Amino acid sequence: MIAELVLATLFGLLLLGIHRKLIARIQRRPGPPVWQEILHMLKFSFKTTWVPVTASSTLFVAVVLIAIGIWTAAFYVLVSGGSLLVILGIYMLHKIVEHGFGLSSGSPYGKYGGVRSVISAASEIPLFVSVAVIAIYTHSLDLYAIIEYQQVSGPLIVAAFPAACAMFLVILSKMPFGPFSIVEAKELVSGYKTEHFGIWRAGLEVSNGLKTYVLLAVFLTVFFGPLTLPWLLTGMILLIVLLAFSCAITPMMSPFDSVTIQTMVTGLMLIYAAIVLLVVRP
Amino acid sequence: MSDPIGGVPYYILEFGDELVYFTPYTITLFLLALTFTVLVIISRPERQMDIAFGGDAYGTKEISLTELQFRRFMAIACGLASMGAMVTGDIFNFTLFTAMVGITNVGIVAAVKSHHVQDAAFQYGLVALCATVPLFGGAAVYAASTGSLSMIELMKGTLPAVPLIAKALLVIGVVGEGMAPFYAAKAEMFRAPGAPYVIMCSLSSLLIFLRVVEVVMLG
Amino acid sequence: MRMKKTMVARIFWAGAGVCLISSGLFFTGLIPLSVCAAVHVLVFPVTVLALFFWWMAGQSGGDIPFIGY
Repeated sequence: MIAELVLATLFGLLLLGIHRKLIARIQRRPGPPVWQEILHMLKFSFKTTWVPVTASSTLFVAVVLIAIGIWTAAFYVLVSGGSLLVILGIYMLHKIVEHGFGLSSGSPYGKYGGVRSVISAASEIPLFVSVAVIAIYTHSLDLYAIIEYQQVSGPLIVAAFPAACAMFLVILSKMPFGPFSIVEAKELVSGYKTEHFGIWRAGLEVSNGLKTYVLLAVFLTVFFGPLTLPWLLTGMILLIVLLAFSCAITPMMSPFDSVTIQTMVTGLMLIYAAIVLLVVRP
Repeated sequence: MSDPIGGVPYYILEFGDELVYFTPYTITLFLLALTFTVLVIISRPERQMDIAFGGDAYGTKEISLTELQFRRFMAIACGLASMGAMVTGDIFNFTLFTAMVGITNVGIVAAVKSHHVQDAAFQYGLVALCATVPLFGGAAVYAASTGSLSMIELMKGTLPAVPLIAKALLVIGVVGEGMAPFYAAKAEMFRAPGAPYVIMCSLSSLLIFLRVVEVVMLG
Repeated sequence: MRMKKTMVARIFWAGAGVCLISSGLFFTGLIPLSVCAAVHVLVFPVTVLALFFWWMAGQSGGDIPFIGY
């Protein structure tokens, strides 16, 4: 299993590299090579590392371990076909990791990244609503049950297209260079990860790779049903192309606009869930 | 939907009528709350850099020992309340733990000597205070309509169906304790220095929200 | 707190060993996936950071870090 875990991490980083390259090409820049994010991780891991004198040292270090740990857990939940609710919980807890990164250093840039991470909490609610809609259709939240349902009734992306859109938006809000990535905006240097340099940053890159892999795989599993490994990997690449287009052609929003749009999407999703509940459930 | 949504309980610990149970879902949340509580206990607060924008002046904010001790105590209490809310098998206990999280959240930042933080904590306290009415009201409707507050009993599916209003009240109560859209004051509370303690503010409300999702899907 | 290069190397090899052994035990069916996953969640992050520390750490004293302005 450890081999799968390491390969998933590297593939996730490769996906982030493809994402970055595509954004550059869409914006008519040459862009870095697709394996740049893997090189990034390696580069940071060779840098001199210490803990800033203003930081809360225990939290500063522990949060890197927690970041990798929670996404390792999410990876195993995905592999074992466990509950979608656990993955959702881990996704929400990633927010706490962002707070931990931002607040533990004592730097104002990290601090504001952390505070932005708190105010963008509205972005998670559409995820809950789409999960609730899935539960209404499948009567279970276990991934293997969702796969079984789709084998019988066809892919959920057809039946619950708005839920898929909402989940896509949630993934988009966690992608770098996206319209909603206000937590790592450049006016805050690098937002919550400003002060985590060297090996701490390399650890964060590992967790980012794993996170990208898990989120995209969960999206494909939930909305397209059982996929063999080549199709899963192809699907992830196609999904990252879609995400890259969304990121490349939209500017980063101001925190206020970002939260407003996410709240509006939440409102729309609640209406959609109510309709599904009234039409499908009886 | 009668099958347990957070997975089949691994272990049920009974204290007579009250019980505590661990499903794969709640155990994940419980362990996270435990990890962060341990972190609060063992880590010292960061020294927040304060920059006077437009000038070269900067300094660090120091936290005095008495303030540190009080805030650490409150943060540990908050962690314990969150852990309790994660594993309890009783709706009423869950609401009690949620209310306690609201109180300790104010407590965590109450000792901070900053005008903005105090204001934010006061506003948050008011919202949390109001939110306890639907919270306990929801638990009351649960008891009135099903005759039981035990989540294990609700999970079995033999009890009368829980009315939607009870679930809605419970969710509104929890949301009022610090989820969107009532988290604005909480973001202000994050200005307070002392990272491990203020993180407990957001961690506790996030965990309680995650748990209430499971609770309302029972029965 | 300073850690020696040999120390992080030991942590890395121990962590990598535990990860490999638990994977092996899972494939032979001796432990369920949940146990294997629990071990990896605890050990994998430490192993990754120990690996990075191992190849970053120099044998000699090292240079003086840039403290800031």
